[in-house]
Amino acid sequence: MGEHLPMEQFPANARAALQNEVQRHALRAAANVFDERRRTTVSTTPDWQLWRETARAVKEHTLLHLDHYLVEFERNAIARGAQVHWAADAADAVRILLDLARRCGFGICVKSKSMTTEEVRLNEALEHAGIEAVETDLGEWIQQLAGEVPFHIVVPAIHKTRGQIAELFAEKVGTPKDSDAAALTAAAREKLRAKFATAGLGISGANFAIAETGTLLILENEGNVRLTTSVPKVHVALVGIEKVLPRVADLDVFLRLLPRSGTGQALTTYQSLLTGPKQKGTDEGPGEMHIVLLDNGRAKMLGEEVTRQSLACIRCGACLNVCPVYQQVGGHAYGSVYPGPIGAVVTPQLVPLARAAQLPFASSLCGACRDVCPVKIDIPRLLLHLRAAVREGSPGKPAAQARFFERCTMRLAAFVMARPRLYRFASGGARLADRLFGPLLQRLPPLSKWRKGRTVPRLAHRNFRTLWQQRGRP
Amino acid sequence: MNARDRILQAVRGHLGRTDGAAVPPPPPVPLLGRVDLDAGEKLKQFGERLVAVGGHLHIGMQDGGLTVVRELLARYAPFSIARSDAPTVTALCEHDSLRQHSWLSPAASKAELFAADLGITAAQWAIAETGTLVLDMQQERHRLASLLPPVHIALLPHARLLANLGEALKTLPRPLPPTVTFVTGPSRTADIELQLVVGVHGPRELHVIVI
Repeated sequence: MGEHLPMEQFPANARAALQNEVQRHALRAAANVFDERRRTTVSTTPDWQLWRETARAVKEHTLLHLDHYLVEFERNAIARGAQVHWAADAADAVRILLDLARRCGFGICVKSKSMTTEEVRLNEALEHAGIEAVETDLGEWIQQLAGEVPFHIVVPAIHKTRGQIAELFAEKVGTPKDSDAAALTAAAREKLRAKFATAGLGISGANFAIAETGTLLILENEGNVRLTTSVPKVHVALVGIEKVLPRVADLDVFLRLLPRSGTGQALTTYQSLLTGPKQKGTDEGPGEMHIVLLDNGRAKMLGEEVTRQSLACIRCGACLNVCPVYQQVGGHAYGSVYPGPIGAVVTPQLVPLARAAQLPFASSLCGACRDVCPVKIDIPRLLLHLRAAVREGSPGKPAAQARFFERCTMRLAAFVMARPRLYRFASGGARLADRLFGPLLQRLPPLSKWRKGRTVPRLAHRNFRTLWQQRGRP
Repeated sequence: MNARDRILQAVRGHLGRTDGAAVPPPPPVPLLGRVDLDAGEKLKQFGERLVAVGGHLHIGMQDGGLTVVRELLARYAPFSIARSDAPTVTALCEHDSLRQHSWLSPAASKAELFAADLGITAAQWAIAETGTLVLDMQQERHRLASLLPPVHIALLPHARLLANLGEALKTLPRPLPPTVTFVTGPSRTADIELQLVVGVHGPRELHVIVI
């Protein structure tokens, strides 16, 4: 699978993405369709706010006692015959999964959509080890054939047109160049069936892990999760430690929120509740079930209330569909498996902050993400928190110095604005300077720096006071 | 220290908790969804929701679904039929009027099941609120028969129709069976230009016969 763009260069990635009209059009279409469906279903759900509050309360309780629920989950999963592994970081997770793939993959593994395996860059490692890892979600498979990483959480290949996909398939799969969506999907079904029939290992993620029963729950629409977790002899799931929920009963609220927020569906086509491997040799299903619990930077988010809420995310993608920044620049610009508003707060906490220092600034702080979030994550507050952390941590430019400069500027502005004559003189001067030297001034500091990500408006030739006087009092 | 202990220590350290410290009960989940439906209303709602997601509803209460299955088999003319080991399915397979079809054994191999072009199973429960079937793989051998063939026919006992998701979660046997699958309509994708295509990895047609 392809490489992520460098997240350090978000501004450059974003500028490049803005030139891609096809991509922007597709993004807008997807965002509109999904957000429209989400709004329709939410508007016909009178208890929506109650559901959100319940879900958030359950998540907060679970995260505050996460050690307890992880141990309970492990105990119950082991009691049902599953093997539980712990991975402190990406390297741990890759080592455990590679060992399994070598032992029981027969050279080929089938994968269902999993952001955690993307996070630890599993596909690269499997490729290096000479093991074929086939993505089986249609959108993910398209991305894999194209040598690209997923572009969107829910619709991985949303930025590609049918024509582009048909050409890709013509080259890689041998279908006619003018195939329609149904024919392309049918070709994928046939090709991937052969992979399912031969793979020794199925690799999945999980949406929820239930502590009281040791159960994994996975949602999907296509059926590839069911195949991945039913057909190969061994199933392994890579699960972030934040996915734990206390009780089966909690699913009532989370299964209501997740599909409605993601695609507007009341329920996705399939939910698989998996509790251990098969009990007898003659039963159907995998004979071995492995669960890898992944930390990889999550535990350290638990300490503060503001960062802890990042772990409440259920990966629905609703915040992407309403984000004015994401809708323009798309998923790849963020350089991370987690794009959009939630990515802009999760990624900087998972990787060294200096690498992702640009991401918390990739937002207009409009708050649309907070309004749609089914678990009420205050993303703008998190963005501000991370911006402050970036500022504190950036070398060479102490935050205290910046604050001093800001304070002086504000004092000066207050001084001028409190004195009408001085204000009139200063604004007149500014208008004159703007008219004569505007373009030049914008290219000099301090405006040139501020201009990097913004457009500086030109000043009006006549100010409001003049217009008011000319118009005459009513 | 192994990875397990390091992770748990880090979690406890950041939360300021100690090993084995008391945990208050989790917040209650209130009753969600409607519960005040009678049997007729449940069936009506189930049918509406099932059809809305692209499934088909049939009523076969007089004869255990025999007439409906006979018509469906005549329509699809399958070369090979996968079937589960549910008694209601076995009764159909052994019925004189359906014996001429080529039925696989409930213990058929994976290769045979991959090649089957129609699957008949029962369903343990259904949820009216969402038009969902609940398949308990411990009560019936239907994990692959309900998944691999392009057409899935499911026999649903009328008494097993539940009002909502919460009721279904409460009804599941404890300890939980190794696999329970909720099925709401045929397999679907919209990964190419958001165009809905059914039957991507699972069945493209889902028929539910209420018996």
